[in-house]
Amino acid sequence: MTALPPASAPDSPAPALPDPPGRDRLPEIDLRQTLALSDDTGILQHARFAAPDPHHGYCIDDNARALIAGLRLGQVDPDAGAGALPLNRYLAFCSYAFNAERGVFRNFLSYDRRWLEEEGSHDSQGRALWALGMAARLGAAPSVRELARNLFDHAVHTAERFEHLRSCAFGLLGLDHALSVEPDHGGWSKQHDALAERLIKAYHASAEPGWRWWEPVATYDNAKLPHALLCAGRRLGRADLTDAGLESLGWLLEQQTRRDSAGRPYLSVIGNDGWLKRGAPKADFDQQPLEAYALVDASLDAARITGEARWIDAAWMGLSWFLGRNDLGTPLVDPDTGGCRDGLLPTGPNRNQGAESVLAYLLSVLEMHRFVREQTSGLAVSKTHTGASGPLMTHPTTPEVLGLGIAGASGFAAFCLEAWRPVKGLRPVRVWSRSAASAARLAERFGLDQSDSLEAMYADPAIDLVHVAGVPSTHGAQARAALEAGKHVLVEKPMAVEADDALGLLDAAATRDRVLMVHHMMRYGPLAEPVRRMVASGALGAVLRVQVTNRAGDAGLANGHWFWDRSLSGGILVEHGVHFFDLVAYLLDVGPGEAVSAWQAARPGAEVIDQVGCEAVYGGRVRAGFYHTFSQAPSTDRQDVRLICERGQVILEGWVARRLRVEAAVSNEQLEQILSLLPEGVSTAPLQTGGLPYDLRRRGKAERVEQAVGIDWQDPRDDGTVYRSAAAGLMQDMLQAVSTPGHRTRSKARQAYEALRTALDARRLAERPS
Amino acid sequence: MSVARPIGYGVVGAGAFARFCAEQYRQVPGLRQVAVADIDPQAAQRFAQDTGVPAEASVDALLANPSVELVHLTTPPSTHYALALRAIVAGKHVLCEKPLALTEREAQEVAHAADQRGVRLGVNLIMRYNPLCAGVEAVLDRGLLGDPLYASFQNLAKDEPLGPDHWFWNTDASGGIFIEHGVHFFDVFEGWLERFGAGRVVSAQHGVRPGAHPVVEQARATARYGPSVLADFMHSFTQASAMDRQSWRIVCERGDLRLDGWTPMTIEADFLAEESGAEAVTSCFGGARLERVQTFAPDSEEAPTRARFKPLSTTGRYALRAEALGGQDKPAVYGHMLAELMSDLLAGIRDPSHRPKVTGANGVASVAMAEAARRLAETIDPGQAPA
Repeated sequence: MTALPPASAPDSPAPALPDPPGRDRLPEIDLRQTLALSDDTGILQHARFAAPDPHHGYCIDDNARALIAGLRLGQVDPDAGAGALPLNRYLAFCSYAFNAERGVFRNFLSYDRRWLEEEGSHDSQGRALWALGMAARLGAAPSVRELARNLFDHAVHTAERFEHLRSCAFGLLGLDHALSVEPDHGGWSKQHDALAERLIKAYHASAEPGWRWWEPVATYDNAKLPHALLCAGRRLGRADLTDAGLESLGWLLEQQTRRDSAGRPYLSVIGNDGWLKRGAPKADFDQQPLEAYALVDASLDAARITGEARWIDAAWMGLSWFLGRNDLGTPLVDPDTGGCRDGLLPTGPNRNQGAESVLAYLLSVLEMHRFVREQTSGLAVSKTHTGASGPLMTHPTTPEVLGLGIAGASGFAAFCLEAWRPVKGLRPVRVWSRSAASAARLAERFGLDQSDSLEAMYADPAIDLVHVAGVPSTHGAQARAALEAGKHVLVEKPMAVEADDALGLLDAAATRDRVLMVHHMMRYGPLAEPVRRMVASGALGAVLRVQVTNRAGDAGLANGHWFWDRSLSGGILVEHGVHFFDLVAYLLDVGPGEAVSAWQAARPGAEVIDQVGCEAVYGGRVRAGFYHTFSQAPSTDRQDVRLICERGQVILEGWVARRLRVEAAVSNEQLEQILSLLPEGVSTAPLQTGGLPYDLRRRGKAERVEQAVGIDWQDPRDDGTVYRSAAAGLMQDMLQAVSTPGHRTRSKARQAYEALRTALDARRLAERPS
Repeated sequence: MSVARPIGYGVVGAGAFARFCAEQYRQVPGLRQVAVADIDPQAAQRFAQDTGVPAEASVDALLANPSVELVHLTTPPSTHYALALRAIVAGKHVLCEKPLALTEREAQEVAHAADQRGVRLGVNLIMRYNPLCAGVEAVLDRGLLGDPLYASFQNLAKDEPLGPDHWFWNTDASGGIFIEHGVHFFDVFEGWLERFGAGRVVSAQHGVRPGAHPVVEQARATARYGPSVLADFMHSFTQASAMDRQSWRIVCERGDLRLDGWTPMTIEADFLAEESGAEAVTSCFGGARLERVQTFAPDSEEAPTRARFKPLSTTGRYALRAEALGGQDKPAVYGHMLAELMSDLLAGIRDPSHRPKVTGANGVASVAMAEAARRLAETIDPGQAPA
């Protein structure tokens, strides 16, 4: 890739961003949010958070983009079938938008299906032509192609009146598609050439060294301008158009390229709060997904036309912007919806997921997939341009499948290997254990190589990720060595049995730029996130107290097991307590817990501690009590986490909780909010019917109580399935952190360290002579 | 039962609780309600009009009334110590509402004075008279679920009726949550667990309400009975009346017992046992329903065989459910407990050899635990609201 000068540095140094995903780790095509925003009229413009917002109705801009997405999907995944996206619905919207009297498209349609204007903006006319031209060419069914051609032909005259260059660019792209089907169409050709001429003239009138742009300010959807010129140059065989397009696109890319602290380029989109004006630094925010998509789309056509690898890098840069390789190191993609947030604000992503953004991401992914398909079938690159050597899509990044090494052939390691079977992108390779016999058993069961020494396994280049799963006292050293060998590390809890060792792991991971995670899988249970959100919503008032009761079985823990040996396990508060210290920190999200008191009790007739308790304060305000015993027969072990709130209580049951009960005295609105955050299928029952509603005056507040209600939900899956799914969720999160820059994992090593600190403090208090 | 001469009962403190008691004590044989007094004479008059119990002009007048043999103190906690001593000096038997006093020292003084004067001292620590609590004691005493490990009482209490000026929040008047309220539970847990070793508070904290009225609204403590049994007490006076909830749990080697309600109204047990053991547990709770939810064949691999390094012989997993007094409502159960305690006290008054289930010693011990918890909460963790 040609060296790009660093753009002006942002105020704060960019984070060290991990590599962009490799070619075989393209994000999957995820239609969920597009479908969620689509109804039987078309796709709605806006969303409140992820929910479609009827207030703003529909517009042809988004329906045109959705139509394009449907067409590209058909190219990339013909097997997805016509029903995967309601392409006909989007086309029908365009058709209905056509105002036959005036021969133009309307743009905005209210939710009650009233057109809000007779004639849409020129940009919207242009986008409609672009989509319809493409549909006339790429529609799978003749009926789609015919209707699209018909509409296109009736509307294309409007391009003559376009005032803005971007409208011209859209029209030009539409004409390029249409002329691919009917190259001899005289009227269309004439219009195509006229628009191309207009674009190139405007460019030459404005561009100069250091400012390769059409206007004194570069605003939105910028890459569409050079993109249209490139395509026109290809169609007309005019190198002057192609060169101008490439020159401008390269310049635009330069303006938006920054480097992270590791010196690697990433995309910093021109912000809409001031744009990029000649002679001034670019506005940093808000950054719109539309820009990144326009860059991906234009760059891939530039790659097709020139065969130059740098344009593929540019496309990756555009795609990576969505995934977190951006100024904030924050992904815009929402894994829960498959959608994309409405741009990057200085404070983080806009939380809404409207159609323009969602389609910008979907279209970027689709374009990347399309390009990969072309590459693998050898179609894309024109033979005359072979500037690149080797396969174009090879990218120096993470391998597509990470090799896994297991240090410590414990029963839990076996559980994890089982749980991770469905996880894509992970291949268990080798196992080492201090007990060669255990390693051999695990190796045989899962078809692994057995390593003679830990050093040999860590030296194996086929191992990218190490699961440290042995006895707790070995975690610190083994995880440290793995990080220093350049491996990503998933370490069982506790991450170490000494605070210094744990801190050493955080440092090693940061220094070596490796992903370190601690296996706090409770965060990945089906209820952890909903309850965290319920707490955050405040619908139950403040959390006043948390009570954790953990009664564990000890059937597998015979006298003499390392678990009972504090020097090996760290003791119950450390070995096991960290799970719950961490879970409570996750649920409350007010900061780490501080142990203020702790106690323990000895098993009669044996030199072991089998009960411990601890009182902690989270974030300096929320109190939490913990009780752990390892004494129960297998079938009677039982765990629950209870959150006592101002307006009721929440009870989570199960080790990885799979049952939730809520009792709440709340307003209708609060109840609705609570229910909206819970999984589907909850049952509710009134706890009180008389005397409602009323105003509850307490704590200096008057609160409306309209419902006193009990809520119950249970995951229909059995414990084993829920546990495996939680472990798989954590591993998936970890793989994403490895592959995706700036991906924020749900469980973070720093927080695991904080939980360990809480546990070590608690242990000290419990052991204090009393 | 042959009813001897009825014993004259006088109540000091004409509040709502005294009225409730007056209602319940009507059913108690051998008790005659003869006088009521209050610091507010008009309150005593209203009480008299409503109940037909004659009002005395003052506490002194009531104590001087020879027909009053047993004085019931239903006044706020801070008054108990002095009033109890006065009644004892006047030669009356005393039933004191909990807590017996605000400190262990004062409680001991009252108990000692009663002994010296030769009068009966009762404290209205009624939990031990709850049939389900009594059943739990029998289960533990007979070791039917193996040794206990852990007991907890989680009290999500309503604070809706407790406005910012209520005496409950005033530590000088009430003694604070542990002393005013916690004694009930220290007492009943002691009844269950003291046979495994003396109880000692090992940890206690207060939680302070943020805002304009920084009262202690949460209080929790952990006690250890002997070296191996832990118990948690948690009181949170923070809830709307509809959300008022109490749950109890006793975890043993073979399973657990769960009680529900401030005055326990239901019990559920989940445990591993042989058939005879399961039936023995059932016999501890009147009207209990037992169900075998899992059967272990003699040599099945599923059957739990060990826990806590000890062999465990079991043929099944059992679920038991029982309701207090066969499912009567809360006021009925509560009234039953009050009446039972009163009858037990009357038996003690009549028969010096009769030892009631709850005596002044319980009043002292429960205040001692509560005071230790309060001191620990105030010393180690001042429970200050965050800055």
